[in-house]
Amino acid sequence: MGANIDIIFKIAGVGILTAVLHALLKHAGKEEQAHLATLAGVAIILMWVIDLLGNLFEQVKTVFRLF
Amino acid sequence: MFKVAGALLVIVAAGAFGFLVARNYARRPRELRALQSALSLLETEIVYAATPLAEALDQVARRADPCVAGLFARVHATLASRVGTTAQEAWATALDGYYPESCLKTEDLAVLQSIGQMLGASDRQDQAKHLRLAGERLRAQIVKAEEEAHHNVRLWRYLGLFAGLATVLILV
Repeated sequence: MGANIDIIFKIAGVGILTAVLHALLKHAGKEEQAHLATLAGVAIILMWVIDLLGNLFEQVKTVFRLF
Repeated sequence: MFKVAGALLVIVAAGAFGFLVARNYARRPRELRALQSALSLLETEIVYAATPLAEALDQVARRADPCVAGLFARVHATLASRVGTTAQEAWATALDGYYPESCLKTEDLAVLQSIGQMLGASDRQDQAKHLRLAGERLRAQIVKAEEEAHHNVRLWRYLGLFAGLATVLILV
């Protein structure tokens, strides 16, 4: 459980940073870089989430004896 | 313990980098303005006081803002040492030494280089005209530099800090 809470906080942190970065870059008139930063944030978080999703599918398979 | 220290180091380093870049953007308009007023000082020395060029440059170096005084002091030193260089050559070599330690861009350097071609090469009125022209071009550069500084100073300050925070978050 501890690891899961940790990763949730990490995702929240990256999310907040990405939001601020997007606002900052947009304010400075660099729209493209702002979107790029957002995309990078999403990609980084997705890499962590894919692991968790894989775990979830494994568990579903185990529960329903699908293997 | 090591993790916290490393995280702090990364944040401080990234923040310092951002601050350095921001400081360069903030310094350029100030330097350009100092150059402009130094040039008008030089013009006054040439037109109204009719001071010899080497002496006039010394006067300007003493009265100008410290961040640009070095340029004029260097030209003065070259001319005063009487090694036989023309004012144009002295100005060009002084610029080569001054440019890397300043925050100026190549456009600003081109304006300054154009001054050297007429320095001490024609009569007073003509030199005054050229100096005024260079001042006008510097003014245009100042407007541009201020616009850039307005956009970029705050951006880089925060960008460095946030980049450090993001690195720490991803690596932890």
